[in-house]
Amino acid sequence: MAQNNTERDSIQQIQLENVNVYGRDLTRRNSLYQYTPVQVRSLVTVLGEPDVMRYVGTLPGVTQGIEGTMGFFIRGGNNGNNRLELDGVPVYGATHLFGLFSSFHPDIVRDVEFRSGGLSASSGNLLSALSLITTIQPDTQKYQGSFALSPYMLSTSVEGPINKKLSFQFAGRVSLLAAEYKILHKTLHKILNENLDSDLDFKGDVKPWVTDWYFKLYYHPHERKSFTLSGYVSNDYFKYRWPKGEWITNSIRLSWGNEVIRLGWEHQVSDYCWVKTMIYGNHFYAEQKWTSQRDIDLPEDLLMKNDRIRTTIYEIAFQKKVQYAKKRWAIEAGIEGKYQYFEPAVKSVQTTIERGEMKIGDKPNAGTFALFGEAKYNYKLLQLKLGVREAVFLTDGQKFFTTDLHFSSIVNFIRGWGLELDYDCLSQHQHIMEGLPVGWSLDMIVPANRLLPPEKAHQIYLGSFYHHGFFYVSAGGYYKKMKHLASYKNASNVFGVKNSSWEDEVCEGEGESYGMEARAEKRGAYWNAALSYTLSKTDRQFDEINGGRKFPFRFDRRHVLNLTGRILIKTKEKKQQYLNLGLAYASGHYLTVPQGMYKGVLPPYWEQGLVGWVPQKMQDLAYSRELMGDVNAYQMTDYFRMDIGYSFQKQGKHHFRELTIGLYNIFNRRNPYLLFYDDNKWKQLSIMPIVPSIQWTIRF
Amino acid sequence: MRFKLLLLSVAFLLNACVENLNMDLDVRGIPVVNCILKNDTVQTLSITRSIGLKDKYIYEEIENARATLYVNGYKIDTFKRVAYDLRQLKYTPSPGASYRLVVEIPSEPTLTARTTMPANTYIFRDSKELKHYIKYFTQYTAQYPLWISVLTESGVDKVLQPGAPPSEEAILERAIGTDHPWVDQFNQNGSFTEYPSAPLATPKYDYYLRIPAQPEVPKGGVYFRIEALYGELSIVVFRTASEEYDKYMKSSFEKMQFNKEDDFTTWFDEMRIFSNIENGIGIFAAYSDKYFTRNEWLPLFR
Repeated sequence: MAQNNTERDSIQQIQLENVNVYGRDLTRRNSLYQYTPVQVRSLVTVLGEPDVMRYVGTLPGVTQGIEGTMGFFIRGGNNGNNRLELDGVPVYGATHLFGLFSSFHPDIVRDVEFRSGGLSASSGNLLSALSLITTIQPDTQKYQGSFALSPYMLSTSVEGPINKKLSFQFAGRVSLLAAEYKILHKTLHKILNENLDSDLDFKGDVKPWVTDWYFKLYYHPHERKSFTLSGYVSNDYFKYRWPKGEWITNSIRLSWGNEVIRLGWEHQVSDYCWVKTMIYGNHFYAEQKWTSQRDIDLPEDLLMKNDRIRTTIYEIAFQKKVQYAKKRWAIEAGIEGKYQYFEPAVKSVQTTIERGEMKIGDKPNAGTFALFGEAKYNYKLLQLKLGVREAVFLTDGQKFFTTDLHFSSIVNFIRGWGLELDYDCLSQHQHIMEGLPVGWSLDMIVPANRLLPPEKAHQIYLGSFYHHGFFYVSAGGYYKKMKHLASYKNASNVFGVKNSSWEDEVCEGEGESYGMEARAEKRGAYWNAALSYTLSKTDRQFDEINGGRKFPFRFDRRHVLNLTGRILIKTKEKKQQYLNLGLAYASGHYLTVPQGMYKGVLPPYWEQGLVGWVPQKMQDLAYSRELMGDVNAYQMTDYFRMDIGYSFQKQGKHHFRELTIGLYNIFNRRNPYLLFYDDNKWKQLSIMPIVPSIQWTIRF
Repeated sequence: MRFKLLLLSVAFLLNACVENLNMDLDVRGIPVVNCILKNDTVQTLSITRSIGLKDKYIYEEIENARATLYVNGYKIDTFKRVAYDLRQLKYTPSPGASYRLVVEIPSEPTLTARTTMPANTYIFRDSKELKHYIKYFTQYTAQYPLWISVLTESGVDKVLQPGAPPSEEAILERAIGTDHPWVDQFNQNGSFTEYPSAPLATPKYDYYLRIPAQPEVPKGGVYFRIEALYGELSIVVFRTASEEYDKYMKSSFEKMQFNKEDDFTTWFDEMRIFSNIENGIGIFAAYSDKYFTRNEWLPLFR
């Protein structure tokens, strides 16, 4: 069924025997990038896994957090201000392995649309950028699938018809880490003990598990009607168990994941009108659990203890929209209702069944009702778009009314040249308390409330572009102002909430960001390349941080440069070889560092509490205080990395094979991540040296 | 151990690299003022200078500084130097009064700070003395934050005046439990009190209980218990803190707690200690103590 979207043209990749034809007309604007999994394959990644979201990190306006991870900071926003949708369903924790790669199998993805400005009114509850992943419609004609193997993951996908009107797709990935750990654990223990450089004797047992699964049923009883039922599950699980002690055995478990079920139906009412309806259920969770098992002769009620902190969101939503497109106009209008149940870091401690479970912490629920409408007008050289979203957010007995506005205009002057102007007024009804800037799923999500109202932002962008065939160049500038941002007061919460009374640990503030973005890209049959450059400045101001003075955002990287490319090196009948290149340069990020010591005031009766051992550093800090510099006043040295990869492709009679090898950070540059003072010396921690990767894929 | 970071290390530190750097970021010589007003007849103050990270912990006194205390805009007196880095002022602060400290150092900007002397929190001890390890209290006011600690005197024969402060030989309990509904969990140590006579275990906290200020207290007060290894002569100290003292102590103790695990997780420490000294660093704050004595051999006192 044809899908109407004046912005999104179909992507066609037709593979004939002995012939590859690339016909691509993806949507492209200064603040909008549309790409497919094929383009993503040119990126060299840390683990060698093709990653549909990693491409976002190469786009202008995007700054990365810790290298190699999926934390994206776009036009001054936090990683938690971005919204990621899978067929319209928001996915809150979409990464694996502490943010190293996204949790979407590339074979389920038709295309990804990334928008940093001129956003659509049908998606709300975000303050920064919108990534829309559209999944493929399962093949209704024949069966096809894939199998891929790398040192980290085993993945598979299959799709095909069930009957003339019904088709399916199933895709899944599972990690090999648990099996590899069993084989290599002695070597791993040795390496960790050498690297950790402490008295810790790493002998424990680690159980890692990473997986994601997706299914889709596509039913089209009529050429103008279709139904889809899809489900998505991702899970990361890590358990560490200490060696069995004399009388006690402890274990710690981290797990996080998503569970999504979606039912959608589309009805083309006429040649110009479509009605799209969707219902979904969404569950996101992140949990830390510590278990202590005792083996001595104690009353039964003291034998075992579980201590758990869990963040959970349950969400049920309904959306219905009507699209009408005729001649110069395309209009969309819709309603959305959503119910959310939050468990932000509820702490649960259980000793035994007799003792009972003590839960501490609030579990708020929230409801959102929104009306949205968007109108697009195309006439000759002019494209205009205006969208409005009115929402009411109800939680904890309070109501918050928010209005989102989106305006976008494109004027094409002479052949190929044009100007683009975007304005967005955005609001976000939940706060994502971010710790380590890795884009992982262990951050706490809480609804807005009286103490922390919904976050708001105003953003404006003005730029120009030139395109000719498959060559596109753009440049422009933006300004963004944010308020009601939430941040931990205390940097110790960087490892996640320490206190389930989380309201005591956060404060509200503002942010400002402005900059210039430029991009040049060329797509072709023999080589593709894209160069992005961003020059920007981003600040934050919180009354309870840094004495209320403005300070640089941690990842306020003044210059960011990214170059990616894919070159067809060799082609011969059914074989191709590609060279993949990547270059990343960025100004150093910011840290707060100690600058001295000064005399402190002892905690109450401290010297009368020194019976028994007290760690030396803790003792030192009781008498003295560290003199810290201003927040984020120290800038690290610049970041630079080059990657290289090579793909061998072979088209068989009934299958297609690809072997990809890669080297991440080929110069083995020790890009600094952290600076710290230890043993009377300044030291620098670098995380990613040269990392090889390999993946073998077969498609049938 | 910060467990998340342990597992993160499995992912990253296999590849990570630590290098030494030859650099000096030290800032020395910043004036440091520490003055905590208390409900006592003598107030003390210290004025020193900051040192570098590599320097030994010897803080140079700023001898020629002059520190003056003001209340509600009126001058009280200057602090008199009585020993190295110790200045005193004979004065008893008034609950509810606003104080301003002005420290003048020749050829340097003047340091100033403000605080308010808190009034004691209205707390009563329940006359029930049913359990050895549990003491019950009712809190009726919560205008200021509260820091609670338990000390135990040694010496069976010692008798203290009810409501007297603990002696210098009293030992501070390292872990105490409570079921107070407002308790700040920042220093919860992850275990439970496990006294066999207790009907229900309460979470344990390291050294202190911090009860934040509240806008309202329910009619009838808040009934709560404090569990500790009470000795034959123990004192429960309720320290009503000014906002500045509370912020200073919480940030200081959080940093101490974070650094008690002497491992690589401390590399990520960026915590800043609260300071309200303008043109300098340190703390000017106030607190008021109230003591509850439990003596096994004498009747209960409030």
